[in-house]
Amino acid sequence: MQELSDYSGEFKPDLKLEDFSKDMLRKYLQEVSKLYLLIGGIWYNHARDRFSERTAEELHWEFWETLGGVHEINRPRVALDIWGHDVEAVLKWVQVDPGVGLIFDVDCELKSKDLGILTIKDCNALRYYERHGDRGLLESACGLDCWGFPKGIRRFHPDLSMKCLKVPPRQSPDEPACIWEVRMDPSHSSLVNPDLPEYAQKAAAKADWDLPLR
Amino acid sequence: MNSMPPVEGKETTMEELQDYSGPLMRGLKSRESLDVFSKDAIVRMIAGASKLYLGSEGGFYTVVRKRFGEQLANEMDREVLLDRAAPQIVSRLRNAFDIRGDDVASFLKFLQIEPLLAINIAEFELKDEDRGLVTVHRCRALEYWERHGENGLQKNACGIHASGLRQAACSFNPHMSVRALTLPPRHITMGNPGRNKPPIACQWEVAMSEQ
Repeated sequence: MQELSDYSGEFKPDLKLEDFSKDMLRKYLQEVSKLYLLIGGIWYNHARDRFSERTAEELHWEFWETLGGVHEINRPRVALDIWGHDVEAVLKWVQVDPGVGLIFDVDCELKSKDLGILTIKDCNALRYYERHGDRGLLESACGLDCWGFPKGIRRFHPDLSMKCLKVPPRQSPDEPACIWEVRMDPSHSSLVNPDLPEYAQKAAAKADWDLPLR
Repeated sequence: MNSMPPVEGKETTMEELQDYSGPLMRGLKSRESLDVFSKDAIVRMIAGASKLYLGSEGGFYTVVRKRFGEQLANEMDREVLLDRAAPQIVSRLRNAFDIRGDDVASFLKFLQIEPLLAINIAEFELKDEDRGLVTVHRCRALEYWERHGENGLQKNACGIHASGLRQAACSFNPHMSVRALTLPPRHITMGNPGRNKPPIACQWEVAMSEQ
């Protein structure tokens, strides 16, 4: 049977996703991933309009703690059998995560067994914040990552650490959006990077506080 | 390490991966090289992403309700989903799939690929050119609400869904209407699950009105 490259043809009552070409399925996967992030952003904006930036941020972080920190970690792993407990498994997860690799342009480099570098080269969300000059949403969302990523990847292994090396704002669109170091770190060193803006340091300090020490 | 699966010659396609249990492929890019995975693997990824999308719809509602109560959460949920999100969702998906028509068949096509419906078990029938029937046999959200005794959330969400369907149909064609034939809550008989097939979750009639 001919694969469908779109759904411009006639209605098929027994349609299955498998009827579409891989390219169409890839496009669909990206759309669903964008909708996933879109809903959180719309809720945040609506909460900010109705309450205040601070309340919106508190709700935003609470919302993502479970959805991002639990379900977003687990769903892609289940879908693609990513069951390692090391840096490599984290990088593989990032590449196929609907909240990151499926919609952003990422580079995942495994430097050694215990060290990886994740670079988000192009981030649709950051481009949105930049276009709208929305510094509040930028700091809430990017700060959320500085707090949420290190917590989330502990689900792979309790000694895994994810420290932010660079966050927005950026000076030019040619700069990567953010850079992260993924490390197997049994010493559980602090995630706070003094070179980062204050919002990111605060978020990382909150992650330090939340995470159990060895 | 860090290499793509072997490419055997120019014209051949890469070996399809059924999962990502093997080594990291540094060059894996969602826009260019997801086709290293089999169709079945991509469909599983879509199901995972759709479940996250479903979770995002309910998640913020839950945190707002916890802090500000059900009434305000219901009100905000309606504004977020119907006023702000739905128009974008409809237009993004229609564009992605090139669904351009303004008839009942086109609307049914849209419903088939709408992620929140697509993760359920549903049946789509085109009775004639101007009338269609959508029957949701199993609804993930409804099963969640039933499991957790979330009657208020179910009522609110199904109400929003009904309005959302009408609104979406109208965006296809102002003469198209959607009518609920069956809605939750449903009565589930306890006992032998093989013998007592649960009733359908909901059923909708899509019809073109006289112009």
